[in-house]
Amino acid sequence: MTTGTTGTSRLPAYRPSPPLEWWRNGGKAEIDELVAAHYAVGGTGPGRRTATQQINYALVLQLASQFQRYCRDLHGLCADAMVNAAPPTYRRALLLALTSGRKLDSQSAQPASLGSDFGRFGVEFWPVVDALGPQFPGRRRKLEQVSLWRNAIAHQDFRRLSKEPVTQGTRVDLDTVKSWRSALDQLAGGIDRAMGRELGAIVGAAPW
Amino acid sequence: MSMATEHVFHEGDRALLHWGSTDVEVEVIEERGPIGVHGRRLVRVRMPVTASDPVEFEIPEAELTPITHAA
Repeated sequence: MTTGTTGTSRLPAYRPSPPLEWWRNGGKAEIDELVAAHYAVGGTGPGRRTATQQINYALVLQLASQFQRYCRDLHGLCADAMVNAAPPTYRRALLLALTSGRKLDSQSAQPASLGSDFGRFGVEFWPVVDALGPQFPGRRRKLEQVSLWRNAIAHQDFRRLSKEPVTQGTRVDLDTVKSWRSALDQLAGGIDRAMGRELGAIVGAAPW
Repeated sequence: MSMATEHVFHEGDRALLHWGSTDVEVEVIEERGPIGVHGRRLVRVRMPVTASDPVEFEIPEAELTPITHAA
């Protein structure tokens, strides 16, 4: 499969998408509130560790859901941009091909679902994202950890975490959540740049 | 292109969508917000398919024609 940038010498200038701006403002503010709640649970009493652990779990759920929202909204924007650029008689077929049965509508934003859904644009999604820099495969690995922990917390079933190599030895504390949050923020920015560039090459103009 | 500040269609509304050479009745199942190109509003709709399961997809709400609105 070829990518949309192959052989393209003039690409439209990239600017952050509205979903990324939301992630970095509205989404950030909602996560900040939970971080503040973590710090607000003071003292050294026996209940503190339990309380902060519950807040940490809430942070993981919030982080995963905000990231899923960002990815789903970006996918919707990309689909609309491609449909909008297509000949009118092709648009209905494109709508179905791009947004029907999308994994992001029913599953968490894990690497496999992102690769499948964004791959519908004719893009080798993860190779394109990973090519942005040597840190990106590690950020993808952290997304996998967040996704597995999110599912474990949401379903209260932690057994799989010790069986999956990517989550063996991991635990959820505030430092871990901060590390995951930073990785997902960088990943969101990278996905935005990658899809902005790829889609711009496909439609021949700035996609948003 | 719809630049309305609020969605015209809401969850549960039924609308007509021009599909091929005919109009098909669809149900709005989600307001996606102003996430489309230049902020146009998208909705997710469910469309029946003869002799198959219904399909769900996203579309600019400006392409829908209202039939009824949910109470």
